[in-house]
Amino acid sequence: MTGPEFRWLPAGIVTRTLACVLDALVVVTLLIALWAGWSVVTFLARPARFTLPSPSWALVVLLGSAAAIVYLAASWGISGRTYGAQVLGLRVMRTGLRPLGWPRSLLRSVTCVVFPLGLAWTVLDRRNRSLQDVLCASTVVYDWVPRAGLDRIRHAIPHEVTADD
Amino acid sequence: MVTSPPVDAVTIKTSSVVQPAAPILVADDLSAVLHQAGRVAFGVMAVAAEVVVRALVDSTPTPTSVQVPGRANGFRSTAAADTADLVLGMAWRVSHWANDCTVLALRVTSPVVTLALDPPLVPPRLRPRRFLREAATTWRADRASTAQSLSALSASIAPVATEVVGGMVDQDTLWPRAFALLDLNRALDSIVAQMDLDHLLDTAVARLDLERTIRQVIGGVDMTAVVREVLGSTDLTEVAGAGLEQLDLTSVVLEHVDTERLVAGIVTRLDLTDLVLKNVDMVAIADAVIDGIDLPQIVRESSSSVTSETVDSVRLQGIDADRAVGRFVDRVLKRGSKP
Repeated sequence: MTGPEFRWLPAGIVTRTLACVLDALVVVTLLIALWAGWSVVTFLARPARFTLPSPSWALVVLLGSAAAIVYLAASWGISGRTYGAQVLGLRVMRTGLRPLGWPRSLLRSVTCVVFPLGLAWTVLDRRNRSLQDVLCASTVVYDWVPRAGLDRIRHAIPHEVTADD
Repeated sequence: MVTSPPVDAVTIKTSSVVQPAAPILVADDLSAVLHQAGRVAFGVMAVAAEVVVRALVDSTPTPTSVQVPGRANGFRSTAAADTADLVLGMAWRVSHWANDCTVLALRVTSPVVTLALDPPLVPPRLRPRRFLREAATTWRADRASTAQSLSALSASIAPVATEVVGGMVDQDTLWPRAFALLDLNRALDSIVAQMDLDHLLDTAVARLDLERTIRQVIGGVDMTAVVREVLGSTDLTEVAGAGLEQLDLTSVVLEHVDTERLVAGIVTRLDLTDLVLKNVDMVAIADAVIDGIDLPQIVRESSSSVTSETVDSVRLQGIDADRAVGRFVDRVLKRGSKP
């Protein structure tokens, strides 16, 4: 495979956490959009009695979890990367750098939503695997090519990063 | 009518009618003088006779021609010419005889005359020879004045004679005849051959006040009218075009014009900014430039480049952070670096 030295190496805790934060923001944005849409619908249905909807926390958690599961599973199943992973240049793949597949995507998304702290295992694992990775036989790798030109950013590439994995 | 002789045959030579005269004998020998006088008299008569005969022949209605003495050009002899020759020949013979008799008489009478001029026993101042000598001396002294009187008379007579003779001569027939007899081309050729034309021209130019002549010519000419007429009948565009076709204007200008100085002089006199603002449609130029440039593409490329650099930088920093955390954990757990 072609690309810089760090391509296809397992990603560390920092980039993966940042990607998760971005994905959480995406889910929150989705929830807000849902709430706004529901408000518009109720306003149009009964404008005279319109009040802003105030769902219970349970409903919010339930809807948020469902949205996150759908969002993560769809993203991984289609391209292997969510919006956060896209920004950070990560891709979720099956061990051996193969596409993850829909079943593993769904399993991985459910486990990630149910037990997000599984990501912390990345720090301890020598191959940067989270608990979900261990469970689903998946891995998260760097997968991006500097578009602004390698020469201009080569000085920033860590020398420790090698392609000997 | 007399058929005119071929023009080539009628070359005017000073020796054609009157043969080159023998040197005049200025000698004391009286017989020689008499003989020479007789020859001259007969020469005059011969010419007169020829003129008379030719005039008579020309005035005769029947076409005849005359044999000119001394000219073997095929003229037929006529009775008149033969008669003239016969008369002159007889007179010529008689003159010889008379001459011989005169010489003989002179020789015989010479001692008598000498004795009569210098008679003996007569004082020298009373001798006839002295008288004759004095008469001759007196004549020699007065001869110059008489000659002057004669020349003055001839000068006064000449205009009158010219007028009288000119009135008698029909110039309208005289000149064509003269020119018909003359081979003008050959005459001109011979004149030109003997003339030093260069010298003639030099002399003429040296004597001419060319500047004054040209001024006079120019002063007498309405130059404006002439130029107007010339310009009116000239297709200036065609003339200029023909001239320009033969000219390499660019090379001429480059060779003869100090373009740097010219441009500097022009630029210092011009308000270029004002000129451009007044004459140049800046908006049109700007529109054309903007149309020629894909500005949105440039903005897209530049912004995407900036975005790409930002994203790449964040990703690289993330990788660095990952590695830093990894090393830290390895140190805490006291294990080697991750592969």
